[in-house]
Amino acid sequence: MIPITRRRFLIQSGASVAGTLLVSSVAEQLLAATSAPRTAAATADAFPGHLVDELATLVAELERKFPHASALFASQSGVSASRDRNGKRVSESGFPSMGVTLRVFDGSEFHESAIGSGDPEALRAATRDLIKTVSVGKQTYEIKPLEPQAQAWRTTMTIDPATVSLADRMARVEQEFDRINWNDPRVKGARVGTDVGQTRRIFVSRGRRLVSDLTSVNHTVFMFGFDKGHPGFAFARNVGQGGLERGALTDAQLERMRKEFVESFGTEPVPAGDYEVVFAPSVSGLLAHESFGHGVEMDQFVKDRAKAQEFLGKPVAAKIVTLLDDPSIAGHRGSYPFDDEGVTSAPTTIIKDGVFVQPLTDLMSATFLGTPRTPNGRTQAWDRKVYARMSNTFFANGTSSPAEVLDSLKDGLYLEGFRNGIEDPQGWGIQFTASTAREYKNGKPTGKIFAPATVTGYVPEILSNITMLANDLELEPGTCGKGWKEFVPVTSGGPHLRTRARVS
Amino acid sequence: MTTTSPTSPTVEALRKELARNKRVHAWQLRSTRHVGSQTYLVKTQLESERQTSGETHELTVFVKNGELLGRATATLDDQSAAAAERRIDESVYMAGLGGDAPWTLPTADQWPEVQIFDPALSAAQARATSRAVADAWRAEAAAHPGVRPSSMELFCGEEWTTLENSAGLVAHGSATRISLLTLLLGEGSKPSERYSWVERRRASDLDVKDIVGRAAEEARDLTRAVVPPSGQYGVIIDADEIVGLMAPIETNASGEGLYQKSSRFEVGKPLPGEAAKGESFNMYSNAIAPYGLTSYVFDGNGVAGRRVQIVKDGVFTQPWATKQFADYLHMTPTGGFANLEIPTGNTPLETLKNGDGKVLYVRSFSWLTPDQQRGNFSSEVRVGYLYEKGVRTPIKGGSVSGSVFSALGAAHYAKEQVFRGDYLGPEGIRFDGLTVSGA
Repeated sequence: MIPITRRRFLIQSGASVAGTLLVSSVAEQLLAATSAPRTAAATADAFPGHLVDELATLVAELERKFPHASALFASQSGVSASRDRNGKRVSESGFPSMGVTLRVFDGSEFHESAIGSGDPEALRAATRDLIKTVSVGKQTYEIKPLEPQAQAWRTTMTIDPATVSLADRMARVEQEFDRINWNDPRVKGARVGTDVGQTRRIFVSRGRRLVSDLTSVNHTVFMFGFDKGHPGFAFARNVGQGGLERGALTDAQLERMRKEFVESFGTEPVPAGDYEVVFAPSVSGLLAHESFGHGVEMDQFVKDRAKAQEFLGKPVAAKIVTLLDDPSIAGHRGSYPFDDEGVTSAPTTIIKDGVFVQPLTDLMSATFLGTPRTPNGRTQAWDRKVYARMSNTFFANGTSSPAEVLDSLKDGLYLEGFRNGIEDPQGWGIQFTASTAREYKNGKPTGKIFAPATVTGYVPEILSNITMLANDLELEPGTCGKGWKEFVPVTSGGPHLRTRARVS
Repeated sequence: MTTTSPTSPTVEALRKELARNKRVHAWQLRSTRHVGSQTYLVKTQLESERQTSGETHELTVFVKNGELLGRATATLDDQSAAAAERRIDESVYMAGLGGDAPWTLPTADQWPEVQIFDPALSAAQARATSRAVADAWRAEAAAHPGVRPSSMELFCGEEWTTLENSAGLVAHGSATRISLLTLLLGEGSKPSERYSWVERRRASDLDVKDIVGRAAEEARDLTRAVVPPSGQYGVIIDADEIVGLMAPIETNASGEGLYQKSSRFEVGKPLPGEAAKGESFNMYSNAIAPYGLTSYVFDGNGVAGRRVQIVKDGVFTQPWATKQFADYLHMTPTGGFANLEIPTGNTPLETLKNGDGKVLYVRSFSWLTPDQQRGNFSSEVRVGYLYEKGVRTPIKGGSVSGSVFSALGAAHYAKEQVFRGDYLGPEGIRFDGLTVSGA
């Protein structure tokens, strides 16, 4: 296990931690596409091969003793191509991992063996060990089996990375690098990178055999520099599931990044205070994620950690607010066809018309609290536990146009750009940071830009103060931790919205 | 489970194929094996117990690409001996598509004695130690009036590493780690929770009684916490938050930052910021601190661990640099940044807390993430105490903001030294000039 420490996370920042990983394959597929003689590489990556049958045999063996058993194969792999002023690179990327978790339930507790291998003999040994060392106890809880299902999913792509050679991928990265404005003497460096990641899952339980093979692309452009000693930077990205159609920025994205780069030299700290604010969609997403995302992960209910528990069925936000979590939306970073406990994806409405109606569950919380399961049991990797987690979490569209929402801002701040945030499910406090805040006076931007802009406050207050929601829902990719660990890919989003908040 | 050793079939196969492949200019192989135990409690009941084990071999090949040195990495598991030739071919191909300025791999060195292994957390003992710590936690969590346990997570285990390269370096190391997450709930007119995440190399450094006791006290205090008053007054930041606060210094002091020209620092010049009004700032990267979380015998490339002064009396004395960037900067490599060490001051923490006027002592922020280049930060206070006229008031909410670089110009360091996993330094640092935004 290579833990992503808090320090490492801080230094690498969200976007790069998101980079994905390896074991066998994307490299093999890409290499297979480069030239004819590599038939060995093309055939070596037989996923899922016999693994589904092997896991089904082990689960059946475990169920002879235990009331519930399951197996999860989880792997992550990736290949990146990058270019900066000093060089260029093609290599495996991220934190490659592959392994299997065997899980049994003894009637009251879960027991798991996690093996960093798909080797059948190692898996059989772990199965024997579970049978030998774990006793069946008092049947305090019952886990109802999911409906039988056998299905496989793959990512839908326009340009499948397997059909583009690594040399061509590097060439695309170099073209992108050349698009950066090197004539501006303030630009001291830049980096363009395209990561192609692959996430594979096999879930097996009684009657259930699910397989997914998901491809994602993380294309990031970053530039930095100095103006009279003042540092400045900007970045733009195209991230999500899909193929190399995501491997370039649009002209509009690039232009916006250049503008942000120039503006970044003139920013100053926000004068702390309470403001009328309009959030751009990415900032609305931060609010969604940190307020009623983490706060309604139901494993927190079991631990008496979530204040939201007292508000099920009660108003928690303005009536115009509806909030959803939906892993079934195709093509996003938080999308998946089934969760890591075998529940197939579907949308969950968390807040409907301002009322909290449904938390997000994992198997443990649904079992212990006797509630229906939602598709939110997720793990960082094979060697980590499953928890109730978000996927794609967002405020639903309202009825105003974005222009109407911005025009309504007379004296206040317009917050843009996704930085980070942290939850406080028990205290219902909130903290999240936007890249910039633009000052508005008398309904017009003054040209003054503050950076960064940290929003703090009390969740019900901020949600109840939402007075306008636009109709321009966007989802922003990110990486979500539970506390400061257990990182999983997510998106969060919403439309432009208007509320009142403390900004510093 | 096979063992990671020079006789591992995967390692043997890789060595053989590396010797055969004429395009490989240099190589590095890092093999890691871990065995661990994880325990999860809900309240005081066992929710889940997990045993984990795994082995990986991370191979990096270097090829000459004109004047440049191309590099690519491949990770193999312990069943990959048959795939060795193919994975090397793939890596050579990838490495040949790119390149950086050439640098050389480290050769064999004198390894320092660094204490990072605890027999109580070894593979053989991890499960038993885990159960003993969980029992201790249960007992301690039940011993504090006004609080009740929410949950606990405990991770412990051992990791073996072998590093070898084409320059003849071979190094072995074994390290252990134990991590404890404690969540306690305070009961009162205003319910509260206290979250504590503590990691150590040695089981005996994980003082369960102290960790739970402190979390219990803070959970209780939070039931009557208030938002701090707004203004500019003294702010003491606790040792637990100093590594996060100093991240911009670490980033700007890196050899990579200097080479890429992204650093604001210049060797021999004072750190950017305002003129010093406080005590002088000194900072070390210490890779040989006993049982430090980021202590190491050798770093990722095989550079021997050492203690290096990065900042002396407010002046940037030398960067920390891995072998690659040290070669570029024509300096001796220091190895990767390790434990943060800051010398203590002469003033007792109690005196710093009770100066003239108000002083806010921040035990923990919600999430402190300073801007790495500008050093600006703003973070909500998760747990703090306001000291004023001899009265201590618990604080939650509001925020503290400022610039790390400016703040260091008006800093006072506590006399008491603490060890907090990857930090060795004053128990608290008082900054004058930060902005508190609250009531």
